Amino acid sequence: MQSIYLLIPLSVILVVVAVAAFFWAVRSGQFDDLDSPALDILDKDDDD
Amino acid sequence: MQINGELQFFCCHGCMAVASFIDASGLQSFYDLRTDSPHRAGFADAAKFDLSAFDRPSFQKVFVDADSETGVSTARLTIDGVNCGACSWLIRKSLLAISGVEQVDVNPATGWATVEFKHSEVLLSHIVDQIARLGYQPSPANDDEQTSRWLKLRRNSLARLAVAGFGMMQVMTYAVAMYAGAFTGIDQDTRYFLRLVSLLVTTPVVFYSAAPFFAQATSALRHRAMSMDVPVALAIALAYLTSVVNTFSRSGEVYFDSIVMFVFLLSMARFLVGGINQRSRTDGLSIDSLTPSLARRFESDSVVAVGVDELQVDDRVLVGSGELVPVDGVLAEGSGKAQLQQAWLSGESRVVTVGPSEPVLAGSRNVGGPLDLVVTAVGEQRSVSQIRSLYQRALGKRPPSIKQADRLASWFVAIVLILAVAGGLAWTVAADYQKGVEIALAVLIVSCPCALSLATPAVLAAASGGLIRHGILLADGAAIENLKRVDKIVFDKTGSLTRGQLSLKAIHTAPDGCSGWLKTVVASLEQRSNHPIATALRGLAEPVAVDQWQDYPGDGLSGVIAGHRYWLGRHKFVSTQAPETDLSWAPRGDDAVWIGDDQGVLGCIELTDAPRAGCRQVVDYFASKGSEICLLSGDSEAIVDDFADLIGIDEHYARQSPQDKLEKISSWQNTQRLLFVGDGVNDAPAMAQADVSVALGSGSAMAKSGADIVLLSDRLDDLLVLDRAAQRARALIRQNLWWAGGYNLVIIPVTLAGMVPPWLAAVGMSVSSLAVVLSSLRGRRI
Repeated sequence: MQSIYLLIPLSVILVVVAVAAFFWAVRSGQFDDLDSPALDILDKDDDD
Repeated sequence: MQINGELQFFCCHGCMAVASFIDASGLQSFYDLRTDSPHRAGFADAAKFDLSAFDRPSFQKVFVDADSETGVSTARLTIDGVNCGACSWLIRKSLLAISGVEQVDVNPATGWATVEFKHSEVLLSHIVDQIARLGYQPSPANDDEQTSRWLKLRRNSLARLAVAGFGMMQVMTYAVAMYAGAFTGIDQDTRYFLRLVSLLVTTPVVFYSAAPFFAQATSALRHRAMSMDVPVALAIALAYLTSVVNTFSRSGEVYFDSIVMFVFLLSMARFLVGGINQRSRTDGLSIDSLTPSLARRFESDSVVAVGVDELQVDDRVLVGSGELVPVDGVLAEGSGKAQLQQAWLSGESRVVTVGPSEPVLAGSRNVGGPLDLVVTAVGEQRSVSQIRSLYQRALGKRPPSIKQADRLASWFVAIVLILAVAGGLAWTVAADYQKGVEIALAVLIVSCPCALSLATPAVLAAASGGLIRHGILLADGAAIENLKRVDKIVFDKTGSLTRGQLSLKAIHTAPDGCSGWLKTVVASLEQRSNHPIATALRGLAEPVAVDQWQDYPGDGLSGVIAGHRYWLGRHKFVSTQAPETDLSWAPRGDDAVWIGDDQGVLGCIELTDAPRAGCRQVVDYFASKGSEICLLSGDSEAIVDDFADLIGIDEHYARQSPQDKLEKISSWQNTQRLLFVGDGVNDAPAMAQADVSVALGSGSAMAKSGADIVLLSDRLDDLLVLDRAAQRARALIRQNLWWAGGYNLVIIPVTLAGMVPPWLAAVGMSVSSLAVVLSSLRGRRI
C-alpha cells in the first residue's frame, strides 16, 4: 500500500506536464482550426 | 454540380472543389475543374480586377510584415467565402503550388489567412490573384477586434476544458478507490491521503475551469437576474467548501469527483454551443467584403491601381464593367449613362440608370460600360457604412431572448434554497446542529442542478452539429427556442424568396421567324455584355462570331452576325431601329428583351426574377402553421404585387428602405414575435432587430453576420428542415427538463427524510447529468 504515496504524486506531476503541453499547443494556435487538417490526406503528393 | 449524374449542392466553393476532386479521383487538376464550373458568377469578377495595388508599398504597410534578413514576408489577409475546412484546404493547396510561397494558414472559423512568401520570388498580387481565381474574395486583414476576442475566448475555454478533463480523469480514479474503500474498509491515513490529492487536483478545476461560471453568476446577481449560472456556481462553491472542510476535519463526505465531472460536462456543452462558427458573428468584416479593397485612380493621364484606403474625396476613379463601386461618388461630367445594379443595397431588382453628376453608391455593381467617378465619400462616410451603423444600433436594441431554462432555474433555485434551509432547521430541532447541516448540504448537492442546466445546452450543441451537416448554420442556439414563439414571418423578396437574378421565362418568336436562329443571335450578342440580363441569355445557344458589336447603355446592344445587323434591347430601342411590324403575337409589358433586324421585330424574350425552388411550399407550410406571412421588399410596387400574387402572400410592402424595414419590424414587435428571412445589406438592420433572423447563404456578409441562422446551402426549403429540427430539439429539451425535474422531485423528499448518504447523492447527481447528455445526443439526428 505504501507504493501509492510515491505513484500518486508521480501521476499528478505527469498530469501537470500533460496540461502544460496542452496549454502550449492551444496558445500556439494548433487548435484554432480543427476541420481542415482532416483533408490533408487528400494530397497524394507529400512533398509539402 | 453533377456528381454521379445527381445534382448536388454545396455550402461553399471548397466543398464543391473537394467533391469534384474526389469525383475525378485526382485525375484532373483543380483549376480545370474550377474554370469548368464557376460557382457564383459575381465572385469570379474579382479575378478580372487589376491587383497590382497589392504590390504598392504604401498599401502593403498595413498588413504585410517584411523580414529583410530572411527575405520572407508575411501577409495577413481576410478571405471572404471561406466556410469550412475544405475551403481552407483548397486555398492552402493551390497557394503552396506557387514557387516562393513558404507557408499558408487559413482559419475557416475566422476567415483569417497568413501567407509567408519570399518577396524576391513571388509578388503578393500573384498570390492574391490565385485566391480570387478560386472564387474567394481576398482583402487585406483588418484588425477586427470581435474576431480576435472570440479567438482568444475560444483558446481560453479550450484550456479550461483541458484542465477540467485531466482533473476529472484523475479525481475519478481516486474516487473509485475511496468508494471501494467505503465498502471493503480503508485505513484512515490512506483515505486522508486520497482526499488531499483529490483536493489538490480539484482546486485548479474550481478556480480556473469553473471561473466563467462564477463570473457569470456574479454578473447575473449584480443585474438582479437569476440565471442558470447562479445555482451552478452555488453548487460548485458549496460542494467544494464542504469537501475542503471535511477533508481537513477528517470527517463527513467529500464531493471532489462530482465537482470535476460537473465542471467538465458543463464546460464541454458550452464549448460546443459557443464555438461553432465565429464568421457569422463578426461584423467588422462585412463592409469590406461588400465593397472592394482596391480601386483605380486617374493620376495625370494614367490610371493607377490603388488601395481604397488611399482614396480621397474629389479623386477620380475608374470603375470597370462588371465591378463593384468602392466609394460613394458622382458620375463625372461628360460621361455617358451608367447602369448599376443595387439589389443588395436597396432590394431593387431592376438595373438603375444614372446620368452625369448623379450619385452612385458604394457597393453597387456596374453592369454597363466603364465609369468615371468623382469620389464624394470614403470610409465610414459612405452610405453603405451608414446602413451598418443602423444595423449595429438595431443589434444593441434587440429584445433579449428569454431562455426557458433560466426562468425555470430561478424558481428551482428559490425552492431548493428554501427546502434546504427548512430541512436543516427541522433536523436541528429534531436531532442536533451537526445533523441539520449535513441534511441541508445533502439537499443542495443532490438537487445540484447539473441535469437541469445541461438540459438545454447539451441539446443545442447536438442540434447545431446535426444542422451544420445539412448546410444550416445555427449561430445563436437560442434561436431554436425562439422559433417556436414566432407568430409573424417577414420575407425579403429579391435574393431571398427569389434567386435575385433574372432568368428566362418565355421566348416569343415572330410568326414567320425561326426560334433556333433567334436563340443563336441572342446568345452571340450577349457574350460580351456585363448586364445581368446577359447572364441569363448567354447560355441560350452556341454563340457564333459577332462583328461591329456595340453597347448602348440603358437601351441595348447591336452587332453584325453573318453579314446581317441585329438589334437587341428595350422595346423602344429596337422598334426605332427596326421597321414597324404587326406585334399582336407579342406579350404586353416592359420586362422583355426585344430582338429586331432591318426587316422588323424578330421576337421577344420575357425574363423574370424567378422564385427559389420550394418558395411556395415554404410559404404555404408556415401559413398552415398559423403564422402571418409578410413581404417587405425594396422593389417597385408592380413587381412586388405580381410576385406576392404568384406566391400567395396577402400582406406586402414595396419600396422599403432599410430604415423603413427596421421601423416596421420594431413597431410590429410591440405585439408580435418576428422571424425575418433576408439576404441583403438593406435587410441587415431589420434582421438584427427581429426576434429570429435567417440569412440565405448567397446573401451579403452583413446580413449573414447579424443572422441567428444561415442557410449555407442557399436552399430556401431548408427552412422546413430547420423547423423540423427545431421542433425536435425543443421536444428533447422538454424531455430533459422533465427528466431532471422528476429526478429532483423524487430525490429531494428522500434526502430531506435523511435517507440518502451524501456520497450516494453525489453519485446520483453524476448519473443524472450523464443521462441528460446521452439523451441529448439524439438531437444530432435530423
